[in-house]
Amino acid sequence: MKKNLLTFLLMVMLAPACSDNTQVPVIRLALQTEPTTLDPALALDYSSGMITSMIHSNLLRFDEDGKIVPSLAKDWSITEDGLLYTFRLSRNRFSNGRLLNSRDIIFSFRRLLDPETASPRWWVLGALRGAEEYHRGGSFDKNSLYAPDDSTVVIRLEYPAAHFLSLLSMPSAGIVCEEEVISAGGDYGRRPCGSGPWKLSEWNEGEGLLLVQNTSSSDCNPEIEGISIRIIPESMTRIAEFETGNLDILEVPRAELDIWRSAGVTLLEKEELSVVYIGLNNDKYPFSDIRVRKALNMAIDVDMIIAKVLFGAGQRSCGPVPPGLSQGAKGEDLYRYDPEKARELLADAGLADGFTMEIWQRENPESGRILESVQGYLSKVGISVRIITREWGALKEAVDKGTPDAFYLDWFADYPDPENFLTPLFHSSNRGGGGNRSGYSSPGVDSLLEAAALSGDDRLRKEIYSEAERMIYEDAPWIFLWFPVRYEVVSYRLDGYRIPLIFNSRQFIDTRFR
Amino acid sequence: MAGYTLKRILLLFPTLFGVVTVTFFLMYVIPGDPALALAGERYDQQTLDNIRKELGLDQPVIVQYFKYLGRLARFDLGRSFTTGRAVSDSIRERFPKTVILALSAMLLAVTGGVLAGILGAWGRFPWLGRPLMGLSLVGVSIPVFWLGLILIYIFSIKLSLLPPSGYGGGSVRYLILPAVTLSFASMATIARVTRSGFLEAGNEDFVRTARAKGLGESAIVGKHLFRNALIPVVTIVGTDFGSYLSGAVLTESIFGWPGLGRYVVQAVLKRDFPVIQGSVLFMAVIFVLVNLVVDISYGFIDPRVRLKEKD
Amino acid sequence: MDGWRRFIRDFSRNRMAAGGLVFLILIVLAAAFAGLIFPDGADEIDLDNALRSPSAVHPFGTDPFGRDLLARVIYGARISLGVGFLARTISLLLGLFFGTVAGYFGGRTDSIIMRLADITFAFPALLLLIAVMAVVSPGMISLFTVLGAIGWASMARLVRSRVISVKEYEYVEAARAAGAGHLKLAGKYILPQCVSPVIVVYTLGLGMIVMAEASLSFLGLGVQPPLPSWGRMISNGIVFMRSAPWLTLFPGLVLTATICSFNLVGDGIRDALDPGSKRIAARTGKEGMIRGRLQQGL
Repeated sequence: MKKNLLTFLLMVMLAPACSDNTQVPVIRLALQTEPTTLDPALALDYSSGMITSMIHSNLLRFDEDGKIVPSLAKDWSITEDGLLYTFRLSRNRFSNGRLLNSRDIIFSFRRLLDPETASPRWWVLGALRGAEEYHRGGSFDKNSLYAPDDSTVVIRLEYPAAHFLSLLSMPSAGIVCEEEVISAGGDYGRRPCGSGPWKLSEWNEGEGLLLVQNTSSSDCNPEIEGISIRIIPESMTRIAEFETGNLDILEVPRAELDIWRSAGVTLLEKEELSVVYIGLNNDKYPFSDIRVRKALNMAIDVDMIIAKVLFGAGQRSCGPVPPGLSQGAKGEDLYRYDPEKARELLADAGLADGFTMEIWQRENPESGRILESVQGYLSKVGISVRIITREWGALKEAVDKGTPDAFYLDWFADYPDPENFLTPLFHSSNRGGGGNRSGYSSPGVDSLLEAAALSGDDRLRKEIYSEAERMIYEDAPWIFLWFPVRYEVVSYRLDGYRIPLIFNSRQFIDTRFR
Repeated sequence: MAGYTLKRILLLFPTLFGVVTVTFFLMYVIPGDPALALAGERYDQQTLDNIRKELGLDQPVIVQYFKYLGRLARFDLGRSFTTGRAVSDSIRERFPKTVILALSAMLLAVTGGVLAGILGAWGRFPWLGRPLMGLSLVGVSIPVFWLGLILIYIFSIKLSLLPPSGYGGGSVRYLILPAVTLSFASMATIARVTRSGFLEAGNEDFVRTARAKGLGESAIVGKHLFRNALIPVVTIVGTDFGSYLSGAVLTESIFGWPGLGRYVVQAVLKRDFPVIQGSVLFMAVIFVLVNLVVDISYGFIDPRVRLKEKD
Repeated sequence: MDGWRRFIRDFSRNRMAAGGLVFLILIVLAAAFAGLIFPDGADEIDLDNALRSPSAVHPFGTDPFGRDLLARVIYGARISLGVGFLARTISLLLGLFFGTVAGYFGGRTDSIIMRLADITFAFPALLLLIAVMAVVSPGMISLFTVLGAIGWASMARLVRSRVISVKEYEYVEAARAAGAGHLKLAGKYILPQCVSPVIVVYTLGLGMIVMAEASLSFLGLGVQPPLPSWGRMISNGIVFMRSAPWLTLFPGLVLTATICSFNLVGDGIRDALDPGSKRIAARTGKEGMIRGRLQQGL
């Protein structure tokens, strides 16, 4: 056993050194940024969230199509009023071999809410009864979360939340192993222990991680011995690595799409659950004037930008909710490219001579390219744009304070539900740091969103969201841009791999080697 | 000499103290709240407050400063805000890799540079001089990041000879491209300086005497010229090596080398105060130490410098 | 002005240096009259003409927005050269002032200034730059201010060492004995002696600043769009390295040629001014200092 492990490790170590070695049953990936932590309570960014959810499992999980399927919980029931959730656990083990029981769920959830953990994602369980008070430093309501026996967990909510099961499937609600958290001290994020299909074997800072199969997990993929994840910041370098056969999966940068399309390889394509937009500061003149906001939407030829700058890797958005999640406003197109109309609207608003505005962005060559073309289009209707680049911290601080006129941002879904796009981005209670950074505020939309959250009927809920989305689209709080499409190429030796709808369901459970 | 060395070592402390203090207060001048960067895209005031408290940012700046100095006195660099990892652990993991890259680049630069310089100056191959010096001129002038990209394009993408990036567990194949890229400018400078050093020394009296005495060319080169041409080379090695050791950001980013340079840039972008402070201090220590060694080594190579330092 | 004539003669005999100068003059002229050569500017977007390969109409090809790359490179020269000259001038002024003060007065003043110079050297330039860009708005102004501010230390060291040796010259002693004030002594007798090494270091440093500006822009910390900067053009072109290699090739070539020319001209001036100065510069390694901090240190 020990010897086998040693040979395996040796093989893994040698693997990247020889490009022709395709025998090692390890999937080789590359990420642009290194995960910051693998602690579910603290993981925030794409890399951390993705790897955290490979290592930890939740009560439920999303499958590749974003559907909620059982994971640790084999079944569950919800009371009529939507307040009491009862989960029955299946038999599972942590990667250290210990049997997972209901107390681990309670420990993990309480830890997420504990103010001392200072989790940025505590709101995932914010609907629990008394959770907000506990997070503010009050006492914990033991009746909101308890375990009648070793394999049952009961959760009581403050108010019904139709998307609660989705929240439970997010990486932040991953189940951690209590004794490992305690023994790791402050280092749990680098020594995680979960019951997911993979466990962390090595983490060389700045270089990459090696995950190996977690044989004690019920989701274990016996055909794949491990996943090596390298950190490669430059996209050109990632391409070179794929071309030399050192990677199994490559996200194709848009600038290279034409090359790969004509190369005869299979390009996997997926509309991601995310939206790209230019938020307008709705509180600030002239963007407080709806005519100006509409004019801005009409002054930009979004289709042309998608075709030429994104090389087709996007779908123009008529509303904030990606097509996978809504069936509402998609049909109507209120803001077709029409510079004449835009100029008229500006003249109506008393701005016939144009004006100067700032668009803020975070430092990134691609968004720079996009904003340069936006700048070009707006100059044609007399609006001169100054592009202000700040790194993420400074940009967020300024945007949340409402300083910039406009800002170029994107929003990634944490769970596949229109609620995740509409409530944080447009409910007036979330203005600023809550997600509604354009400061949009409409009592009508607010009440629709509140009604939808309370509704137990899924169809009715979707209809209410569609209506809210239509109203938002008409008010044009943003310059609506597009829903990005993700392209990946996969080495010939992988089989059964699909791009998941949501990034945190990339668990490689069904992937095989040919 | 010992007195001079001691004095120089004592002078390091005010410099380092200055670096620590400037870095610390610079952090608080920069807009961009580190707690905000950790709060994610969706947060409330309470979350921010909890994070600030957790990181100790809720105290007055001056209290934080003295606490920081207190920790430094115990050689504790603190934990990263973003990853929660001890800064000293990260530096310990990354520094050896930076050293490997820096050492191999310097080695390449010195051997290649001195060799090219001698060949360029030596009368035996007059036709070699111009092309070598032209090449070295391009070498000093070519931007590191552009050179790196071109090397990846040629050797990895087109010829598939060398891996384009990564550390590869220390495998030499992975080291070649980044080391060559990083060494290029130093190599070119060293070649130029060596050549002019040799040419000048060749005109000096003692060499002419030696030549007149009928000593062979190689004996002259080996015995008399080498020592004279060496001093400027040492200077360049010193300064360049010092800055290589504090991490070559551009080379590291292009080749995905897990060294110190990327660590600090990432930290600056994320407002990770403990990491910035810790690694800036660490780099400064390395930089001044290398400079000190260089300055002292002059005295051993050239006694004249020793005399000059006395005034 | 016999010395001046000899300088011209020596300089123009150095064919490489003269070639470098001609190239620089061409670039400066093109940058100055860019508006005449390309009256439409370099920012007009024409997505229909995106990514055309080099041809007679577009000698350098077009970028992803259909803008003429040659026009962008020429307009970009304004940024790169502008940042270079301004930054070096700031370094020069600061360095002259502090170097003279340190060398002239010596003692405590000297050691304080030299400690400050040490701190500047030991401080990662990139960090300072990001800090300033965050406080001031990022862009050209913060770029040359910071690059200029970083360069003061090496200039000050050079001036200081020169001042210290000149101070002891007999005619300076004589002037002091005759009752000349500090200002007159420094301005009339000491500073003129520093001119030649300072000019050389100034010119050589220009190339380094152009390189530093490109490197920073490459890291995304330079000037803001749509201003064309060579470094940003290269950095934006990387993803097109296989589909449109001209996007990185031409700006890179022009950038390298420009830095090359500054180095050639700097060397040429040094040789023509004073053949002996080569030795001093090489020995004290000032070039190495500047390059070490600005290029590798980034």
